[in-house]
Amino acid sequence: MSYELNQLYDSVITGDNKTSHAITEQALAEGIDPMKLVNDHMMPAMDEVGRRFEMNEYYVPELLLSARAMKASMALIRPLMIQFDMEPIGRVVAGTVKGDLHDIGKNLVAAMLEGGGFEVFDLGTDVAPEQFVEAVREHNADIVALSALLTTTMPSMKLTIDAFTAAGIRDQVKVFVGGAPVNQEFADEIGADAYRDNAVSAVAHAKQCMGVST
Amino acid sequence: MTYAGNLIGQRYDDYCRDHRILVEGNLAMVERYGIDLLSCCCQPFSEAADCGAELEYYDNQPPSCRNHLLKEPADLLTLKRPDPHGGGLMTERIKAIELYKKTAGDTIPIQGWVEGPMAQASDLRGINEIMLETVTNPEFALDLMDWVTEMEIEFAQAQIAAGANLIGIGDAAASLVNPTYYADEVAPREKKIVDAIHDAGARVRLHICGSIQGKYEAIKNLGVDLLDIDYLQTVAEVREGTGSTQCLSGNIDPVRGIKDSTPRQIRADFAKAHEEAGENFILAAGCEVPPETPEENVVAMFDYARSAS
Repeated sequence: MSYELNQLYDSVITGDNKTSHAITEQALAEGIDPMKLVNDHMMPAMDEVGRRFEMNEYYVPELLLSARAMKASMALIRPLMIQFDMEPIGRVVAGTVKGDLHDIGKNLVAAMLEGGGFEVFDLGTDVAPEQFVEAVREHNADIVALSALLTTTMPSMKLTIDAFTAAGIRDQVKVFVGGAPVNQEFADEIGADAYRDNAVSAVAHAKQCMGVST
Repeated sequence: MTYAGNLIGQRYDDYCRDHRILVEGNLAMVERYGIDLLSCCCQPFSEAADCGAELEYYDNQPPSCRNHLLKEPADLLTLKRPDPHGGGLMTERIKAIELYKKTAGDTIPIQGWVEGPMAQASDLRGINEIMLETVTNPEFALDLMDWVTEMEIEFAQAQIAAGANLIGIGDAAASLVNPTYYADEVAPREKKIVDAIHDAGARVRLHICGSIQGKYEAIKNLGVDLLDIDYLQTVAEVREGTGSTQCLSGNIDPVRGIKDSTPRQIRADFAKAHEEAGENFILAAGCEVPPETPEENVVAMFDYARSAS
């Protein structure tokens, strides 16, 4: 072995996607359990990235770089997880709701969820309720993460939840809502299961929902 | 912005595209509430649209740009700087200023608007792309911000020539980068715009959406006449960071503190912010007043301002 596995941890923290990809590739070629890479190195690295973000040591560029490094590794690991029936902590469908094209907040949450061991299906922006319904069914999602930046698009969150109810899948998923204008009262009002005001606490709560201790 | 459009019963997409509607909305705000400013700010993509970006319009919210103009960094090499008088959305803003001047004369200050270097770079390239490129392709990020800075200076000068007394600089994305990058790379470019506006005889308002914690010293050194703060910091913290002579405006949470609040609570929140700020303070929401805000809450804002001034 010409590398140390803790370099994987370091490469995610520093956002070095080439190194994270190379180490993962080599480790898998040597038969190292892919879940060991995820659980012992990549998830702790993203936990540390989240801590630094919360402490204002990392900002958006650094977080996006770390997420990119982690994704470079996960691109190699995910096919093996599927091949050997290894389950992620949970499956999340994420998107910015209909009428809203702002995506930086949603991207940060999706990146941190992926770093936390979730499989994330990012539907992008301006996502219609029926697209969320279809994605939940297709991916058998445990959680749906809805984002909005504008007060004018917040009603789309309720329309999406209503669409889940109409489709008979409301009880199958936990609905998380977030974004600058969203708050707990609004979440309660529209019948969402959770509101969180930052990506790190969203991941912690998502893990709780999946019965994983944080 | 959106509140003014609602007040005159106009769709917001029309408000953004037709200077006559924007002017009518803001004059109605003056008549109804006695507001002390005529603003041209309506949406952040005017310059990007005139560069060639395609916008998507909505009935009741600002437009968005789904496909950013600079698909690749190399596209910057062929990007043509728009003429502020070329008949696009930048021209609409200039026409709004001219109409304000014709209608209100010199009785109420007129505020023009430009995007800051980080925000406009994001509008042209995409927020996710430019954030990554501040690290992975720093030369491009700086080249783009330089290009933007020159465009915004020209646009600001055109608005001042049309009659603007004050130019707002909106640099929303500047809150997303770390304080060192902001101080070393973003603030010097903002400063160039600030200095050019001052040289042209107008004053400067700076608004950065989001948290500006850790950036106070760099912001203080910009020499802006008015620092408009979002709701994520207390006024006391910003006052301490920027000094007693910096004029501040803000910063009540637009949703929880204005739209969903009560007149009594709004007066209490403004009193607290006012006390923390002391002198050199203008009462305002932490960002936009949401269009769904009950009128009694808007009235409460102005009541407090009048009673306290």
